[in-house]
Amino acid sequence: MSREELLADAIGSLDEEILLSVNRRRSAADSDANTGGLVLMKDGTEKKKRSFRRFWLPLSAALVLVLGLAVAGAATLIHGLRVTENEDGEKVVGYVPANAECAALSEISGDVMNTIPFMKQRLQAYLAGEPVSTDGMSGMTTSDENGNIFYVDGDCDKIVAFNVGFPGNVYKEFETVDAAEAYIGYTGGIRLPRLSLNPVQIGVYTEAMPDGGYKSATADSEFEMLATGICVGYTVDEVFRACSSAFLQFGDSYSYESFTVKDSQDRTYTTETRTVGTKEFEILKNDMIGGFKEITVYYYENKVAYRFCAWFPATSEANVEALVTEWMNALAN
Amino acid sequence: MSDAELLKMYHDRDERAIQVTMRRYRSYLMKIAVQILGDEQDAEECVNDTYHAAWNTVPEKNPEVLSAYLGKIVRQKAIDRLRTRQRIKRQGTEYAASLEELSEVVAGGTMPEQEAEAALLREAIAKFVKTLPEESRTLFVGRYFYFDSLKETASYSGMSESKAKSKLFRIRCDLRKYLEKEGFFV
Repeated sequence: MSREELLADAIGSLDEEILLSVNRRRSAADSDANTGGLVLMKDGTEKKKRSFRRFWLPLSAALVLVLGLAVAGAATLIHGLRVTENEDGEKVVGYVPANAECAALSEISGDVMNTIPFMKQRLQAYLAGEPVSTDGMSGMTTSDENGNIFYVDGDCDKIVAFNVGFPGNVYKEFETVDAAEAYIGYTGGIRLPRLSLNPVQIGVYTEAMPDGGYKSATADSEFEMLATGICVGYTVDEVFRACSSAFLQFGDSYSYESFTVKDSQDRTYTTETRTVGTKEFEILKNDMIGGFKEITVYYYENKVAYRFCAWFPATSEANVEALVTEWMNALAN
Repeated sequence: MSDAELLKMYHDRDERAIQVTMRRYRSYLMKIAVQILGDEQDAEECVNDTYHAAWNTVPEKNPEVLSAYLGKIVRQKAIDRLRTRQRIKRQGTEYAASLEELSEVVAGGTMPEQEAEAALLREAIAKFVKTLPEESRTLFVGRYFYFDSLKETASYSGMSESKAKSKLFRIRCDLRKYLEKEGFFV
């Protein structure tokens, strides 16, 4: 361990009383006094809604951003859901749907395509050093010219400098799942289950990339759509969160979900294939220490990757299981 | 509900304690984790792990100040994750290969001397921070424990950014002298 790491660790063990006194000052300066608050985050009626998004937006983004395996070796990949262990003892979870295909842009007829010129406009503004619109970025993190990371709040109408990964990410909220599906307008049809539980948030997340990537992007670069999908957020037992999503990918190669789990000793993973009617669902269950559980259900159909995930205490297991069953039944019918 | 009542729920093994903790401290913990990791998804995982860690350790550790206790957990988890990330990044380089070879020499985790040094360093840092006037202490802890930006730290410390910067510089110099006097990093 380096000296600065030793020093950082030592500072990390400071007395709680000292930390409390400093945190009081931090909190008093923040708008969100009790919790420490977030830069640019102001109290408002939508606070609960926004903080909820922070949980599940990354989950949805994970489908397209944290993917590890490209389709190049698809013929040699074993389909299904697998949990393996790498040489560091970390668990590696991978889901490879059978016969996965990218959708063609010609199969998209909705207004989601309008995000592409908007992204281009944003990139041009950024390159010209002009203020960049934060539309569709609320709830995401970004950084300023000093490298300070902060959340983009709905009250912040523009930013001057930001992480260059953001021009190509747009998130738009909807009142209903129907409206979100229409916004994408996938001619093959998205069949995101309408659950009996009321959604807390419905949004469409779209990701695109300028030709050749961000590093070589110029004002003339065209954006290529990489993925778009709908995420519907729910709360189970008032506070625990669940997310149902449906994603489409575009381009030449389909990316499969693969992620490495740190702290493997704390997590026990089991996989299961459940058949409902003629449809097969892959289920990943994670029993964590402290009686908490996590469940992710995967299903793929007609170029659409569906996923349901929830994180909850053991006491909420029955309610989550009921939701999972409802979700699978809706897709199986 | 007060933190004392919340802590009692942990001691009583009442799972609602986690829900209350999430409601009350999520954004506070997210901020610390994001400032270390710069990535919301990894930060979210660290924060979730923090709830679990708190659930499993509170009865034994019996923290007096829950917010500070949670802050310490999430900070360490985020730093550990950052280090793992950096280690993974190094993989495949000659530097990584040579480190791997050298690790055989010190197999079995940290050396006792290193652990002892770390314990002494913790003590020394705690003593040093206690000697600081309140304003300097706020700056130091805000910047190096919570990893708040200079601008933000200056703001809640009630001074300009440039003043905060020069004050922090002086604190670091003092800390260096203090640690050298105590026999560290010489």
